[in-house]
Amino acid sequence: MSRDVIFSTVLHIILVGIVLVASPFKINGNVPFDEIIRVQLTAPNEMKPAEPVALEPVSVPKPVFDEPEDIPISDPETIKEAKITPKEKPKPKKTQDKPKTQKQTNTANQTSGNEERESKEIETGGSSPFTGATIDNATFNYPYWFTQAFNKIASNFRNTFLYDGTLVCVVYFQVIKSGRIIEIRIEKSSGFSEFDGICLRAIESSKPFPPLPNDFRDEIIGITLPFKN
Amino acid sequence: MKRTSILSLILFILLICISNVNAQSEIRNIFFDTIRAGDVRLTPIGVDEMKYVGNQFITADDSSIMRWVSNIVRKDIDFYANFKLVPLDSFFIKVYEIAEIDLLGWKRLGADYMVKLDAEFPGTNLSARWKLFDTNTSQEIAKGKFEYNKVYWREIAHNIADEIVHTLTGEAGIFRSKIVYAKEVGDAKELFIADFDGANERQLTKTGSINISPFFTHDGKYVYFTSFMDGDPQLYKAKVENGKIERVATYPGLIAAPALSYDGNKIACVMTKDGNSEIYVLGLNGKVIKRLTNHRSIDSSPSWSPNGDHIVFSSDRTGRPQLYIMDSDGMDTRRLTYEGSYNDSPVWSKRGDRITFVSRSKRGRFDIASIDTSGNDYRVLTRNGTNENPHFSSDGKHLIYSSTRLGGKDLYTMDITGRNQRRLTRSGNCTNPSWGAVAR
Repeated sequence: MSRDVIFSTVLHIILVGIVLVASPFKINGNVPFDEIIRVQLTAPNEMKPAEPVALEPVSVPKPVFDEPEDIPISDPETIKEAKITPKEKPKPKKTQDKPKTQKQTNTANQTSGNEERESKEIETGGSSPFTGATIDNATFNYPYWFTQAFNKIASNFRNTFLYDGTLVCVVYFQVIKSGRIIEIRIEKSSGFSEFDGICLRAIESSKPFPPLPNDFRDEIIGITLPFKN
Repeated sequence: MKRTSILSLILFILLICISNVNAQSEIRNIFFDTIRAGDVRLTPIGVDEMKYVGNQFITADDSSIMRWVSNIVRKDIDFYANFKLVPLDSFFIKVYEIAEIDLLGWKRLGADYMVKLDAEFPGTNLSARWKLFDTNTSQEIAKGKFEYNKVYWREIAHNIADEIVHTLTGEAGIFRSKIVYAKEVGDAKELFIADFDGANERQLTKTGSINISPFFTHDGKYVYFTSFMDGDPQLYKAKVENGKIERVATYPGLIAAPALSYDGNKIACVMTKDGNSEIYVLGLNGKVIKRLTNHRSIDSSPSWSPNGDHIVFSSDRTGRPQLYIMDSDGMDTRRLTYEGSYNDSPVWSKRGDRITFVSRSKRGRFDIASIDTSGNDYRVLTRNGTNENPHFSSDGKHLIYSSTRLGGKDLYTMDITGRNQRRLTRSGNCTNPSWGAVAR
């Protein structure tokens, strides 16, 4: 019996030791696992910088640059490609330097985008997939970009579909380095094609988006964005 | 013994699982609030005073140039429809005893972004560096450098503003675009070209006659216009570079109100060659492609939809001028406006969802009004004086028009919502403005 007590005590000491040793792992992730980082469109001052990490591998279609720019929204399932035109350069002599950001100190630790995307899965978070939007590239840590892009989408979201209840339509779209959209599709329909069309049109009307920052290594990001009526 | 061991083992496994979960807390997800209709917000931006970062003495002129560049960048930012300039608050600076405002200071002033400007003067050049910061994260978003002869300081300032617009919106800025307009010179109306903000004005035509309804070609190399220089009003084009004029089309009667299609290949205009005022489509060479209207009333002022499928025009077929939309082949005409007792000079927005026009509103004078393409949501955008000749900027976010609100006819600009109305000219004799694409 006393041997049992000693064995149990030793085991508990080991367990407590493991807990104490394991806790520092938490330090790097200052944010608890289930914490939601909200980016307010109407009050960007409250927006916290985030380091999104997708948890599920995403298949990223290779951009085809010579297809037409206009994306007919009547067929959202089709993967479309926007024609890429070189950014208009001003005539005066100009050298555009790559901006150095705080992130640049960590660039040595960055892996390629594909590797990142493969290693993380997409989480919509919360109990419902409609509670918020997600980005499928963990290394994209530019809160300003979301503020600007979503502000643009919001200004183009003109809901003329009258419905006495809550409608949610989730749209997935991909943006390439130049800010152009290469894919847009309905991820989850609201059940009303009219409302779905309005949501797609809001994104269509918002192109081009701000160009992805120069120091962002990947060529593409994918965003899942829910719209409510 | 067995029971205690099993319990301990379970506890052990549980704790291992929890520690694993904690270790995964690095994996974070970003969630954004759901997009809701009507969430529109102007982006507040602060522009720091340009600073000299060289190590030599600079002249008073150079010092003035730095101040002018800062001011032009500020004016451009303030002008842009999606931006809001955050002014330097001298009271704030005094209260906090700040010698030089930093990112935190700009953030406290309400700026989400801050533009930092540095200057050097190598030889006769101005070398201007700009940096754009996110004040909320202190992140440097973008930076760049322009170097040019210092006499072109205004161009450099516009270039910087264009880059800021592009970085934050993805769209091309309009600050290097030009406008063309008619200005009274004696008894004549000559065409003048200026920067979008009215600066650098120069005379394009010197015909001594009436020249009206100008517009730029998409490459910015030519201005098409209607002129009375040979008697009846006919269609001409002038080379922007040297003002050389060529006649584009000559038909019996008049050719008026030319409007370029968004693809830049066709011109819709009014002609009376068949007796009545009808709308025709011409090629850029002046050759008639098609007659679109055939009605005993007066049809005028055509404007193309962005996709080229439709044309909006005014017609008095129901008594007083109202707006109508037809297919670009002249079929399927339908009335657009019912509000406003006199509607004319329509222009189709670049987005394609609205049409802006001149409307005699309830106050009995001519105003700039806007309506959606289904004929709903009629909005009057101006309130004072007589307002005419609306025309969109190349990015479709701004309008230029003429107004008599302060006496003489001058040019004004505003956002497409009617916000941010600004006076461009002060000579009191400017009309018929048209906004060109960026062309340098």
